[in-house]
Amino acid sequence: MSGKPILSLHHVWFSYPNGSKDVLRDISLEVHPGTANAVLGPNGAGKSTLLHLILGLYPPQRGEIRIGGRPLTAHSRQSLSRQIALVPQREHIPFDFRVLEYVLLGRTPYLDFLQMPGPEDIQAARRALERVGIADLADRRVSALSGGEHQLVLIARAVAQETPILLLDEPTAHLDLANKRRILSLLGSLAAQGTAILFTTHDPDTALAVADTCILMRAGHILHQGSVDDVLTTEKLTQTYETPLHVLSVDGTRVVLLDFPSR
Amino acid sequence: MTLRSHHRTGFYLLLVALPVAVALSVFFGRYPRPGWLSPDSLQADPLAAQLLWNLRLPRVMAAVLVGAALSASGLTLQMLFRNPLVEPGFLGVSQGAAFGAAFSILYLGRSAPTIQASAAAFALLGLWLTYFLAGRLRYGGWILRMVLAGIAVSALFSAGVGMLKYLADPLTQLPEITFWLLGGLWSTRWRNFLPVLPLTILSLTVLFLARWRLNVLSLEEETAFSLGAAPGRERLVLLLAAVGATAAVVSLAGTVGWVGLIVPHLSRRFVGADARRALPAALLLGSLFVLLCDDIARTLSAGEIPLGILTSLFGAAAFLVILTRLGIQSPRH
Repeated sequence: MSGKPILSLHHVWFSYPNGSKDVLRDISLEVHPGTANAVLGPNGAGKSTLLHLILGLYPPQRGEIRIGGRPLTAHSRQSLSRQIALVPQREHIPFDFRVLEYVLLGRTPYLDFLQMPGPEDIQAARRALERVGIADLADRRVSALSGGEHQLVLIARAVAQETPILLLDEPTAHLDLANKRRILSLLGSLAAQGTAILFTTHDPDTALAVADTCILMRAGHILHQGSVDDVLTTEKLTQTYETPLHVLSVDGTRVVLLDFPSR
Repeated sequence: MTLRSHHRTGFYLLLVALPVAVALSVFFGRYPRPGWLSPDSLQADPLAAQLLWNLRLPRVMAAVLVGAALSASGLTLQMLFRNPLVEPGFLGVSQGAAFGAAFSILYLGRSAPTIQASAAAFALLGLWLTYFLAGRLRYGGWILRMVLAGIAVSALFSAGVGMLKYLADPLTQLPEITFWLLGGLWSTRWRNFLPVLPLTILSLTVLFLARWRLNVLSLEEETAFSLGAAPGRERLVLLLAAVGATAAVVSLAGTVGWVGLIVPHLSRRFVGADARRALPAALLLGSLFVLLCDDIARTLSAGEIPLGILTSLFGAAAFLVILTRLGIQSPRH
């Protein structure tokens, strides 16, 4: 990988304030602009915690996180929110905003406490809707969206934040195949336009479809990381998930199959 | 922002309706006979002029203020707590104020300003207790802890109110406590209206100016954080403003129920969920609602009907209609 990473972790250790066991152990990784990076691992591997640390929700006990060449701790909340946008796994929205109003919330990093969004923010929100391909949803109520549309709206809000780094927590977890494909190709095109993408998933096929690099985590630790070709192998995935599976090549495309002995 | 045309119409309607209602309310009453007081008779009848200026005007303005404060606080708390069923009283504020008023009637004094000061002090004590308890609870997230602590503190104070009612003199003190608990503006004069004005106006100004931020704070904690907000600190500022406004008007009017719950729902229905429009709409609609209820309270019968009974009656009826006919406006996720 050429050039400087926009996001890097150096020997990061973390445990929750009232927990005794380390949730993350000695995590080091680099994320470069214009790449999609998948964090893979079974449930409870520490994938979401990793994202929370990168957001600055919790400070690591040891190690350092650097964003845009500066330590995370040197950023203000506002400056951090102009560097990193988050697409949460699911977001419960108790009030029935219109899609455009909701995406407009992504402009918060550019507004002070008492400041209202202006015309240029509304333009940015519309631009985000167009980039995500859902300009037609602008006037819909968020309660009237399907699961796939909802996920696209969450991504549009993060895109409206206009950050160089995009974090996504299980972006395809609850989606059917068509929507999964739509989200994945969107992530691919956002990366192609220069965004550094880091997303978690417990599904290797998602990583195979779109990721440039892959990080395999288990029990708070990185087992393997590197290019998709090097990392997503039968041996390494079996070790990560501790379940029998096979990585096969079908017409040049790799697929992951679970090994069911009875079949 | 595409402000939909029916939203805009609804908003302008409210903007016109409120001043008209205020003007009409001042001339509507039971003196010298039930119905309208013609402006001409003001010159002829000095008593009418005095009544208008000293009794009716402060009362009408108080109704507007109570409605605006309870509705804006209700909307703010609903968004801060991400729960459309929250209302201003639920953090121990209303029950605290009720206890303060009853306590004052029994032990401190029965003049309106004394009752009012005691009610406001105990309302704020209720909030503080809720906050303090929530900080000590070892269970759930911020919202759940505040709700649980609020329920406990409210129960504590209402037990206290029950105790005071039991101890009260049934002929003099008890009716006064009961009437205060039911809520009303019959005792409003300039001298007890003006002192609550600064805190209420200040609080409402903060809520009005920060209404965009309210949208941000209605998102989940990690999302609000990732958008650059400082959810803890910002929530506290808006919470204090909402409770400040509530404590001030509750000390003036007693417990006026349902306004803070139903008006935000209706406002969102009229102008949408975005607080940039919903909060101003709640201010106007709340004012109008309480003003009309109070007009009925003071004119329908020769005796005063407690305002809280009317707001609860109409509020609960409206709520039932929304629930059964229209559905609570809340997404599925």
